[in-house]
Amino acid sequence: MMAEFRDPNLESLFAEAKRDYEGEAITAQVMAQTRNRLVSKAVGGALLGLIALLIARYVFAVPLLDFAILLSQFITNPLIDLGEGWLALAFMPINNIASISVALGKLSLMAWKRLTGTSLLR
Amino acid sequence: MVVSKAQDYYPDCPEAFLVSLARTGDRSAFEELVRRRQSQVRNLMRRFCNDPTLADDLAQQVLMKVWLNIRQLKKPSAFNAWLKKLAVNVWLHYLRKNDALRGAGELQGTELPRTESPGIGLDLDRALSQLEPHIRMCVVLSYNEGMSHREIAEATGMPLGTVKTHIRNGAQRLQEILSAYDGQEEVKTS
Repeated sequence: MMAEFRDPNLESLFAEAKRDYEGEAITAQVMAQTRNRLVSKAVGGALLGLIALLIARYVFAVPLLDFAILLSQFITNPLIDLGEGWLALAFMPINNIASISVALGKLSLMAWKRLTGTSLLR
Repeated sequence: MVVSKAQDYYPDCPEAFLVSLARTGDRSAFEELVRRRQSQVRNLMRRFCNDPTLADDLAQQVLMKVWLNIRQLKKPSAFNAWLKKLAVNVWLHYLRKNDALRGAGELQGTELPRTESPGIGLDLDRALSQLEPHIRMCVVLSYNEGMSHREIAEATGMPLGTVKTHIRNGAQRLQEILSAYDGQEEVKTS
Protein backbone atom coordinates (compact mmCIF):
# COMPACT_ATOMS: atom_id res chain seq x y z
CA MET A 1 0.00 0.00 0.00
CA MET A 2 1.27 3.44 -0.89
CA ALA A 3 2.11 5.64 2.09
CA GLU A 4 -0.16 8.63 2.55
CA PHE A 5 1.54 11.86 1.61
CA ARG A 6 1.78 14.58 4.22
CA ASP A 7 3.35 17.93 3.54
CA PRO A 8 6.53 17.99 5.69
CA ASN A 9 6.31 21.77 6.30
CA LEU A 10 2.76 21.54 7.56
CA GLU A 11 3.64 18.48 9.60
CA SER A 12 6.47 20.30 11.38
CA LEU A 13 4.26 23.35 11.84
CA PHE A 14 1.58 21.29 13.55
CA ALA A 15 4.21 19.60 15.71
CA GLU A 16 5.67 22.96 16.77
CA ALA A 17 2.22 24.36 17.52
CA LYS A 18 1.48 21.65 20.07
CA ARG A 19 1.63 22.90 23.63
CA ASP A 20 1.86 21.10 26.94
CA TYR A 21 -1.01 22.51 28.97
CA GLU A 22 -0.98 22.57 32.75
CA GLY A 23 -3.64 20.08 33.73
CA GLU A 24 -4.52 20.53 37.40
CA ALA A 25 -7.43 22.95 36.90
CA ILE A 26 -9.17 21.01 34.14
CA THR A 27 -8.57 17.72 35.96
CA ALA A 28 -10.16 19.15 39.11
CA GLN A 29 -13.13 20.43 37.09
CA VAL A 30 -13.68 17.11 35.34
CA MET A 31 -13.39 15.18 38.61
CA ALA A 32 -15.87 17.57 40.26
CA GLN A 33 -18.29 16.86 37.40
CA THR A 34 -17.87 13.10 37.83
CA ARG A 35 -18.49 13.50 41.58
CA ASN A 36 -21.65 15.52 40.91
CA ARG A 37 -22.82 12.83 38.49
CA LEU A 38 -22.27 10.13 41.08
CA VAL A 39 -24.07 12.11 43.78
CA SER A 40 -27.04 12.92 41.54
CA LYS A 41 -27.15 9.28 40.44
CA ALA A 42 -27.19 8.11 44.07
CA VAL A 43 -29.82 10.67 45.08
CA GLY A 44 -31.91 9.77 42.02
CA GLY A 45 -31.62 6.07 42.83
CA ALA A 46 -32.60 6.63 46.46
CA LEU A 47 -35.60 8.74 45.42
CA LEU A 48 -36.73 6.14 42.91
CA GLY A 49 -36.32 3.41 45.55
CA LEU A 50 -38.36 5.42 48.03
CA ILE A 51 -41.11 6.05 45.49
CA ALA A 52 -41.14 2.35 44.54
CA LEU A 53 -41.36 1.43 48.23
CA LEU A 54 -44.25 3.82 48.82
CA ILE A 55 -46.09 2.53 45.77
CA ALA A 56 -45.45 -1.07 46.82
CA ARG A 57 -46.68 -0.30 50.31
CA TYR A 58 -49.80 1.35 48.92
CA VAL A 59 -50.50 -1.49 46.49
CA PHE A 60 -49.38 -4.55 48.43
CA ALA A 61 -49.69 -3.72 52.13
CA VAL A 62 -53.32 -4.79 52.59
CA PRO A 63 -53.12 -7.98 50.45
CA LEU A 64 -49.86 -8.96 52.19
CA LEU A 65 -51.42 -8.48 55.63
CA ASP A 66 -54.46 -10.54 54.59
CA PHE A 67 -52.18 -13.26 53.27
CA ALA A 68 -50.12 -13.27 56.49
CA ILE A 69 -53.29 -13.60 58.60
CA LEU A 70 -54.61 -16.42 56.43
CA LEU A 71 -51.29 -18.22 56.54
CA SER A 72 -50.96 -17.93 60.31
CA GLN A 73 -54.53 -19.20 60.74
CA PHE A 74 -53.86 -22.11 58.39
CA ILE A 75 -50.63 -23.31 60.01
CA THR A 76 -52.06 -23.12 63.52
CA ASN A 77 -55.17 -25.17 62.68
CA PRO A 78 -55.31 -28.42 64.73
CA LEU A 79 -54.36 -31.47 62.65
CA ILE A 80 -56.46 -33.87 64.72
CA ASP A 81 -59.71 -32.75 66.28
CA LEU A 82 -59.33 -33.37 70.01
CA GLY A 83 -62.35 -31.40 71.07
CA GLU A 84 -62.23 -28.71 73.75
CA GLY A 85 -61.00 -30.69 76.77
CA TRP A 86 -57.67 -30.92 78.59
CA LEU A 87 -56.26 -33.28 75.92
CA ALA A 88 -56.71 -30.63 73.26
CA LEU A 89 -54.97 -28.09 75.48
CA ALA A 90 -52.10 -30.45 76.25
CA PHE A 91 -51.44 -31.29 72.61
CA MET A 92 -52.15 -27.82 71.24
CA PRO A 93 -48.42 -26.85 70.89
CA ILE A 94 -47.68 -29.80 68.61
CA ASN A 95 -51.09 -30.50 67.07
CA ASN A 96 -50.74 -28.13 64.10
CA ILE A 97 -48.98 -27.81 60.72
CA ALA A 98 -46.47 -25.25 61.97
CA SER A 99 -45.01 -27.42 64.72
CA ILE A 100 -45.04 -30.51 62.51
CA SER A 101 -43.17 -28.54 59.81
CA VAL A 102 -40.59 -27.35 62.34
CA ALA A 103 -40.16 -30.88 63.68
CA LEU A 104 -39.80 -32.31 60.15
CA GLY A 105 -37.24 -29.65 59.25
CA LYS A 106 -35.23 -30.36 62.37
CA LEU A 107 -35.32 -34.10 61.70
CA SER A 108 -34.20 -33.56 58.08
CA LEU A 109 -31.23 -31.51 59.24
CA MET A 110 -30.26 -34.15 61.76
CA ALA A 111 -30.58 -36.91 59.16
CA TRP A 112 -28.47 -34.93 56.69
CA LYS A 113 -25.79 -34.40 59.32
CA ARG A 114 -25.76 -38.09 60.21
CA LEU A 115 -25.57 -39.20 56.58
CA THR A 116 -23.02 -36.72 55.26
CA GLY A 117 -21.25 -35.57 58.41
CA THR A 118 -21.74 -31.92 57.40
CA SER A 119 -24.25 -29.37 58.54
CA LEU A 120 -26.56 -27.56 56.13
CA LEU A 121 -26.67 -24.61 58.49
CA ARG A 122 -23.48 -22.62 58.92
CA MET B 1 5.53 3.44 59.18
CA VAL B 2 4.28 5.20 56.08
CA VAL B 3 1.67 3.14 54.25
CA SER B 4 1.35 4.12 50.61
CA LYS B 5 -1.97 3.76 48.86
CA ALA B 6 -2.40 1.99 45.51
CA GLN B 7 -3.25 5.36 43.95
CA ASP B 8 0.27 6.59 44.73
CA TYR B 9 1.56 4.21 42.07
CA TYR B 10 -0.91 5.27 39.37
CA PRO B 11 1.42 7.88 37.80
CA ASP B 12 3.85 5.06 36.99
CA CYS B 13 1.22 2.64 35.69
CA PRO B 14 0.77 1.83 31.99
CA GLU B 15 -2.23 3.50 30.43
CA ALA B 16 -4.01 0.27 29.49
CA PHE B 17 -3.94 -0.76 33.16
CA LEU B 18 -5.42 2.57 34.22
CA VAL B 19 -8.13 2.21 31.58
CA SER B 20 -9.00 -1.24 32.93
CA LEU B 21 -9.26 0.18 36.44
CA ALA B 22 -11.32 3.16 35.29
CA ARG B 23 -13.71 0.73 33.57
CA THR B 24 -14.45 -0.77 36.99
CA GLY B 25 -15.33 2.68 38.32
CA ASP B 26 -11.96 3.59 39.88
CA ARG B 27 -12.09 7.40 39.94
CA SER B 28 -8.44 7.77 40.92
CA ALA B 29 -7.37 5.81 37.84
CA PHE B 30 -9.65 7.97 35.72
CA GLU B 31 -8.17 11.09 37.29
CA GLU B 32 -4.70 9.95 36.28
CA LEU B 33 -5.96 9.31 32.73
CA VAL B 34 -7.40 12.84 32.59
CA ARG B 35 -4.12 14.28 33.85
CA ARG B 36 -2.21 12.45 31.13
CA ARG B 37 -4.56 13.11 28.23
CA GLN B 38 -6.01 16.57 28.88
CA SER B 39 -3.23 18.32 27.01
CA GLN B 40 -3.74 16.20 23.89
CA VAL B 41 -7.50 16.75 23.92
CA ARG B 42 -7.14 20.50 24.50
CA ASN B 43 -4.60 20.83 21.69
CA LEU B 44 -6.91 18.96 19.33
CA MET B 45 -9.93 21.06 20.30
CA ARG B 46 -7.97 24.30 19.91
CA ARG B 47 -6.96 23.29 16.40
CA PHE B 48 -10.62 22.50 15.68
CA CYS B 49 -12.21 25.68 17.00
CA ASN B 50 -9.55 28.40 17.44
CA ASP B 51 -11.08 29.54 20.72
CA PRO B 52 -9.26 28.57 23.93
CA THR B 53 -12.30 28.91 26.19
CA LEU B 54 -14.57 26.94 23.90
CA ALA B 55 -11.78 24.40 23.33
CA ASP B 56 -11.44 23.81 27.07
CA ASP B 57 -15.23 23.48 27.45
CA LEU B 58 -15.33 20.94 24.64
CA ALA B 59 -12.30 19.13 26.08
CA GLN B 60 -14.15 18.82 29.38
CA GLN B 61 -17.14 17.41 27.55
CA VAL B 62 -14.89 14.86 25.85
CA LEU B 63 -13.33 13.80 29.16
CA MET B 64 -16.76 13.50 30.77
CA LYS B 65 -17.88 11.32 27.87
CA VAL B 66 -14.84 9.15 28.54
CA TRP B 67 -15.98 8.71 32.16
CA LEU B 68 -19.59 7.97 31.18
CA ASN B 69 -18.80 5.54 28.35
CA ILE B 70 -15.52 3.89 29.34
CA ARG B 71 -17.30 0.61 30.10
CA GLN B 72 -18.16 0.36 26.41
CA LEU B 73 -14.48 0.31 25.48
CA LYS B 74 -13.68 -3.34 24.91
CA LYS B 75 -9.90 -3.13 24.44
CA PRO B 76 -8.00 -0.89 26.89
CA SER B 77 -5.14 -0.71 24.36
CA ALA B 78 -7.48 1.06 21.91
CA PHE B 79 -8.03 3.94 24.32
CA ASN B 80 -6.16 6.55 22.27
CA ALA B 81 -8.14 5.90 19.08
CA TRP B 82 -11.38 5.78 21.05
CA LEU B 83 -10.56 9.09 22.75
CA LYS B 84 -9.97 10.76 19.38
CA LYS B 85 -13.26 9.39 18.10
CA LEU B 86 -15.07 10.82 21.12
CA ALA B 87 -13.37 14.18 20.51
CA VAL B 88 -14.49 14.14 16.87
CA ASN B 89 -18.05 13.27 17.93
CA VAL B 90 -18.15 16.12 20.43
CA TRP B 91 -16.85 18.54 17.79
CA LEU B 92 -19.34 17.32 15.15
CA HIS B 93 -22.15 17.60 17.67
CA TYR B 94 -21.05 21.15 18.46
CA LEU B 95 -20.95 22.00 14.75
CA ARG B 96 -24.42 20.59 14.17
CA LYS B 97 -25.78 22.44 17.17
CA ASN B 98 -24.24 25.77 16.24
CA ASP B 99 -24.75 25.85 12.49
CA ALA B 100 -21.41 24.95 11.02
CA LEU B 101 -21.23 27.54 8.27
CA ARG B 102 -22.23 30.47 10.45
CA GLY B 103 -19.75 29.29 13.11
CA ALA B 104 -16.92 29.14 10.61
CA GLY B 105 -17.60 32.72 9.57
CA GLU B 106 -17.55 33.89 13.15
CA LEU B 107 -14.27 32.21 13.86
CA GLN B 108 -12.39 33.99 11.15
CA GLY B 109 -10.01 36.15 13.08
CA THR B 110 -12.58 37.56 15.44
CA GLU B 111 -12.15 35.26 18.43
CA LEU B 112 -8.42 35.00 18.58
CA PRO B 113 -6.91 33.98 21.87
CA ARG B 114 -5.22 37.27 22.64
CA THR B 115 -4.37 36.22 26.17
CA GLU B 116 -2.00 33.54 24.87
CA SER B 117 1.48 34.33 23.73
CA PRO B 118 1.45 34.90 19.99
CA GLY B 119 3.28 32.34 17.97
CA ILE B 120 3.06 29.44 15.64
CA GLY B 121 0.03 27.94 17.33
CA LEU B 122 -1.88 31.18 17.09
CA ASP B 123 -1.07 31.68 13.43
CA LEU B 124 -1.86 28.08 12.61
CA ASP B 125 -5.21 28.31 14.40
CA ARG B 126 -5.97 31.56 12.58
CA ALA B 127 -5.16 29.92 9.26
CA LEU B 128 -7.14 26.80 10.13
CA SER B 129 -10.16 28.88 11.06
CA GLN B 130 -10.37 30.00 7.43
CA LEU B 131 -11.04 26.44 6.30
CA GLU B 132 -14.52 25.01 6.15
CA PRO B 133 -15.13 23.08 9.45
CA HIS B 134 -15.21 19.57 7.97
CA ILE B 135 -12.10 20.22 5.86
CA ARG B 136 -10.37 21.70 8.91
CA MET B 137 -11.29 18.64 10.95
CA CYS B 138 -9.82 16.25 8.38
CA VAL B 139 -6.60 18.29 8.07
CA VAL B 140 -6.21 18.51 11.86
CA LEU B 141 -6.81 14.80 12.36
CA SER B 142 -4.28 13.99 9.68
CA TYR B 143 -1.53 16.47 10.57
CA ASN B 144 -2.09 17.05 14.28
CA GLU B 145 -3.06 13.53 15.31
CA GLY B 146 -1.24 11.57 12.63
CA MET B 147 -4.34 9.57 11.78
CA SER B 148 -4.53 7.70 8.48
CA HIS B 149 -7.20 8.58 5.93
CA ARG B 150 -9.03 5.37 6.71
CA GLU B 151 -8.97 6.07 10.46
CA ILE B 152 -10.33 9.57 9.82
CA ALA B 153 -13.08 8.18 7.62
CA GLU B 154 -14.04 5.74 10.38
CA ALA B 155 -13.92 8.36 13.12
CA THR B 156 -15.89 10.99 11.22
CA GLY B 157 -18.24 8.77 9.27
CA MET B 158 -17.25 10.47 6.01
CA PRO B 159 -16.52 8.48 2.82
CA LEU B 160 -12.82 7.75 2.32
CA GLY B 161 -12.73 9.66 -0.97
CA THR B 162 -14.19 12.76 0.68
CA VAL B 163 -11.61 12.57 3.46
CA LYS B 164 -8.77 12.36 0.93
CA THR B 165 -10.13 15.31 -1.05
CA HIS B 166 -10.66 17.37 2.11
CA ILE B 167 -7.09 16.74 3.28
CA ARG B 168 -5.53 17.47 -0.08
CA ASN B 169 -7.53 20.66 -0.68
CA GLY B 170 -7.29 21.73 2.95
CA ALA B 171 -3.52 21.32 3.11
CA GLN B 172 -3.15 23.23 -0.15
CA ARG B 173 -5.37 26.07 1.07
CA LEU B 174 -3.58 26.13 4.43
CA GLN B 175 -0.23 26.52 2.71
CA GLU B 176 -1.56 29.40 0.65
CA ILE B 177 -2.85 31.18 3.73
CA LEU B 178 0.32 30.54 5.70
CA SER B 179 2.55 31.69 2.87
CA ALA B 180 0.52 34.90 2.76
CA TYR B 181 1.22 35.29 6.50
CA ASP B 182 4.87 34.57 5.79
CA GLY B 183 4.93 37.51 3.43
CA GLN B 184 3.60 39.71 6.23
CA GLU B 185 6.19 38.24 8.63
CA GLU B 186 3.42 37.01 10.87
CA VAL B 187 4.26 33.38 10.55
CA LYS B 188 7.54 31.65 10.97
CA THR B 189 7.16 28.34 9.27
CA SER B 190 10.88 27.69 9.21
